Amino acid sequence: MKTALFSTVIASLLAARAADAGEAIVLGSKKFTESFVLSEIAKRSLEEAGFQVEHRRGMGGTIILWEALRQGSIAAYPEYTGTVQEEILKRPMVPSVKALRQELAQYGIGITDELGFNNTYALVMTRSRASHLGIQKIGDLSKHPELRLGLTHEFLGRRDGWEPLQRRYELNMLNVRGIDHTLGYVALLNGEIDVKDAYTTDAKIAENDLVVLADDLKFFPQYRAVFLFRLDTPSAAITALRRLEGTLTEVKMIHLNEIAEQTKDYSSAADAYFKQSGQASRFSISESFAHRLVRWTVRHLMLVSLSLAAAIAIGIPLGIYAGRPGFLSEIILGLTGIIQTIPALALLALLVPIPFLGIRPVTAIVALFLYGLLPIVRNTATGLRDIPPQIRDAAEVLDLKPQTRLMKIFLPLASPSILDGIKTSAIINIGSATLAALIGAGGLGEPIISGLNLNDNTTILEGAVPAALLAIAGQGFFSIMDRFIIPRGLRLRPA
Amino acid sequence: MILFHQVGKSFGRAVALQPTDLGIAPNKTTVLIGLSGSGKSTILRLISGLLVPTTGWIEIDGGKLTRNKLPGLRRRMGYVIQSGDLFPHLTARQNILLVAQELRLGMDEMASRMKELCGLTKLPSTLLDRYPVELSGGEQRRVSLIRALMLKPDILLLDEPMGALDPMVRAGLLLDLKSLFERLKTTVILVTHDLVEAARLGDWVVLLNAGRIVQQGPYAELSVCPAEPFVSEFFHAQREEVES
Repeated sequence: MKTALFSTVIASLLAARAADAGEAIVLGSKKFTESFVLSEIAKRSLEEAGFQVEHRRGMGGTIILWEALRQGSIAAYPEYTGTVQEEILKRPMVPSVKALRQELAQYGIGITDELGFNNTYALVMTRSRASHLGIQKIGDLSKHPELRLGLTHEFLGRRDGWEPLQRRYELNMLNVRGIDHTLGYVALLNGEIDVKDAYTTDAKIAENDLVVLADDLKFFPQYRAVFLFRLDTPSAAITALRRLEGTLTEVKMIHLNEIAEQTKDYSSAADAYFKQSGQASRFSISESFAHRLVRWTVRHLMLVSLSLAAAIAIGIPLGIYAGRPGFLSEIILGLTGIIQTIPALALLALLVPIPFLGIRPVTAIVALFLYGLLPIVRNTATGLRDIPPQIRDAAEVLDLKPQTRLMKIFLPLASPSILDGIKTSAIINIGSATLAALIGAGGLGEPIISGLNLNDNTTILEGAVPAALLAIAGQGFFSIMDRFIIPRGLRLRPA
Repeated sequence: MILFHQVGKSFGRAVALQPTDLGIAPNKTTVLIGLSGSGKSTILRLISGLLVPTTGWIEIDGGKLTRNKLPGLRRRMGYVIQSGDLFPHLTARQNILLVAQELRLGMDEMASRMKELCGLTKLPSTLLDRYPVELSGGEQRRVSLIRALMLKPDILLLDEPMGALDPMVRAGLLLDLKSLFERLKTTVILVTHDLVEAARLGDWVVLLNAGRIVQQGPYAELSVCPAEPFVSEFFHAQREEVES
């Protein structure tokens, strides 16, 4: 019985790995438009060189992408020189490509030459608010400590981010909070915040006529766009990446970002790049919505069903054990409860550094499995604990073997409660699985995250509506299963 | 023959049964009677091994009742409680045949035994494929009795078998039990708080109060020669209830 359970889990994990493997070159991108666009352009370039390419969109922040690159779950991703120096190497040096290349080589990582533009951080305000308060430079903020700042979480935590900036400019702002980059623009335009951090190539700056506060103390380092790649990538692929060197000016990049945000389609921005560069691309057919929807849904169902199967296989035996009174039972129930209190995103982040997991679908499955455990363990345990004492006495006095007692009496009697637990787990997992897209595991979270980045409700709904429908379908599926699994005698109402 | 040697049971500080000597005659019906909390059910649960004595020891047919001997002994006991002891997810038939199936006993023999017991307990065999919720209280008790009697037990333990039944059903079952016990000629221990059941069914009546045997003997003896004021109070209370 134990070995059977064990092999079920192993099989499900292996299946996830197999789904992950393949000959394709995998590109990653960070969770913002420009990164998406750059990887999409690189994808085209690699495809023209004859490679199969998979682009894992919006995997998260610098650390996740860097770890994914080092672990080999991606082959390349777009990065910025300042970030490499400040966040990855963390040492004071001139972030010239040459110097960085030397340092990165010891990690088995290569770096292309500059793509051509500098995308540094900036603080932006709406023109009306800035001129009303007479603010032009970052230093001017010190006269208005009451202003509301909405900064991205990454900027708040960076070594070249908010804390050092504040010290350098001797600012003492009273009202600073963390907000998502794209939602931050909405908040800024709605007047809910006054100042936010931006990338100088953000299309939103020109589009909304925002004021970029002058960095008079030259605090922000240079953020020149490059690609980082694994040195063990096929050389033809590296050549294809390096073809992009020096081809993008700031104006061009802002334009491409604009196209991506207006058309809500990153591949159309890549089209524009190749048209401008005079390299017409043969690979410009966008995937149809139906095709994407099927791909997302299938992946989503795979994540949910594998994690749920593992949660059932482990959760029911744990619940059977925890159904008996005792210290260890309380520990089991307590631990599964604690896992449930960890926010899904944090759980993913905690699992990523664990060996054998990393930035792969299997990590998402493990996280969902852990999430799914509590309802199943607890409902199995309470289902068993709630069996009336008369029934327990009867089973004991009839002198049934322990195995018969469990399989023929106790588990069938607890089955409505156990099934309820499985139902709850399934629905939690269908919802939480949308976060799997953050580590590139795909699923219906993919359009949700893209949509958040593009501030595009339609794209968000492309993921959110099917996810909600899946949850409803899941509920229906298990209600039907009730009829087959719960014994008839328990479903009858007294006459 | 079941003998209690200074058998006592307490749960923490609460004493359920004070150290007690008691002999239960074979092939007779012994009725344990008393108010709730008097210790009558505790005695039954001690015999069935659901409880382990705090003091003293129990002798069954010349041997000491120990944990090792329980499985063998339980096969020789039938046990019926007030209500809700049928497995709700199994039909009456499945409830009755569960143990026989586990022991891989001959099913033909078991089927005829079941039929015979249906006759004895007056349970229409058409009801056998119903689930417990589809049966009336009286029918449920009959199924429970059949289940207890399937393996021809030497000892039949009944814990308020008529407690949850309405009066009409109870009267019917009482008559049937009486003729059943006469035919079976096995050792029956019946727990009740009801004097009518004691009078009709009991060859020997044991009256308990607060974890202690107050008086035992044939029903008539307790009724006519009460040993303590409590005995007459107990008898009076129920008679008044009937007459008022």
